[in-house]
Amino acid sequence: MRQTTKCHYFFQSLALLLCLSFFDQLNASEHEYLQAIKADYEEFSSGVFDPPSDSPWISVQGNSTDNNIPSYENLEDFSAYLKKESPGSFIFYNKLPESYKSRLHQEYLKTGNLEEIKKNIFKYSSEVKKQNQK
Amino acid sequence: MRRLNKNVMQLGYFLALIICFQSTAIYAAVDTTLPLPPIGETPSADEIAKQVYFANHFFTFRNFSIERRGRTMTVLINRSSNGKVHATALERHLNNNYEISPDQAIRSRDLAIFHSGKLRGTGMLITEYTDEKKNKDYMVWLPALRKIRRFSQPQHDDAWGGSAFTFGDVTLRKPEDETHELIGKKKLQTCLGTIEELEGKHYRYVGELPTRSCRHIDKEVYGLKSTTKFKSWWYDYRISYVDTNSFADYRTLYFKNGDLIKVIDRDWGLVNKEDGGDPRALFWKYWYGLDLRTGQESWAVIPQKVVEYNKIRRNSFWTEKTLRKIKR
Repeated sequence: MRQTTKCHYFFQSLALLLCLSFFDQLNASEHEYLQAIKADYEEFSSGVFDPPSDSPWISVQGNSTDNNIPSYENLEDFSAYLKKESPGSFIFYNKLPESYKSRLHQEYLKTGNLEEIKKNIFKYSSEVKKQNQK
Repeated sequence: MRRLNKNVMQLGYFLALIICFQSTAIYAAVDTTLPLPPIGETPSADEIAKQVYFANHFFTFRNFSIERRGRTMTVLINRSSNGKVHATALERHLNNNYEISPDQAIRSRDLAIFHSGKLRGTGMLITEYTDEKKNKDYMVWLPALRKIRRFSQPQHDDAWGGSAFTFGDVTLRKPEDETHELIGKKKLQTCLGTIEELEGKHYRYVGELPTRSCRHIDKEVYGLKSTTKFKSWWYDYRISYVDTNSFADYRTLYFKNGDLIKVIDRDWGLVNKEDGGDPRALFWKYWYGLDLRTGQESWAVIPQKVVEYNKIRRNSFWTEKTLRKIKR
């Protein structure tokens, strides 16, 4: 009986610890977001963007790794993103001429609609194929 | 008595939820005829505020709908500070197709229908009048009673739907309520917020929730400072990040006594992809709100496939008749 009570307390403490660590994680991620947007806001007055290091909310241009967010302003970053999100469409995308790739990139920047981009990849692929046949 | 209180609470809740999908009103005296500012000129702060209002009210479209496509719908997720998550699915239809003339009483009509939770089967029709002094008209279809009831306009600082937004944030704020000042122009440097623990996860009604939007990084934005004219108000001023080309307001920061107290982020997509189209033909992809005083987060996600605009629909769709047809 006594053992059962001890066991009960043990699991209660364990649950409490787990909960606390979960909320700590949440607060940490919220904190990172706030630090990033505060740095962004301060740029209006200082004219300098001084971001917190390794923030998952800030883009690192031309140097995208798994930890950093691609800016999408760069065609390479957009290609990497497409490869990750839709490897199948990327095979067709990769075969397209550069002009079509940048067109797709610009479309994505405007609409943010990846499904539409995927459709357009196939549309442009067939367009290019027809042109080549001529 | 307890049952009555519960009903009253529920009514307040759905009133709030519907209004959240209206818009971020800044200027009310703007209509569908507002032209774009001349190219190459920096517009004044007041002009920017008007353009933001225009974009948020979907004035480039005759009508704009967030439909229901099978099981796919718009979902509003509220996460309280203790981590508890609530979600509500809904559809919404906005009609701007009313003549602009002194004789025309109606400026726009907005119909919202709820499809989940306690509000399932509830509908609301909101009428905005051309007369600025006239309050908006709220008609609610109550499925339990199978009757329509009218409600008065809510208070500006009322929180809606237990969310991080107020009625003022989303629709009720009028031009004379704030003074606007342009604080600068720069590039947006950060991704837009999300409820991090839910990012990219499979979720009922939307299939998969989006990940944080970083598409707008490096886009040029105006910093618009809007100071409230209300005394002892919940915020002193707010700073909006407004796209210099499309006038989409990606972010709004609220300050009280110099401290940041609330953030609202909006991810926008452009409907008209063709060159030469109106850059203000935008739609919301998601809204995210974080209240730093309470730790509360809200996230409204609108799947692209439910977005429809300029649909051929008679104005009679935006009437009580449609409300009465709602199935529970």
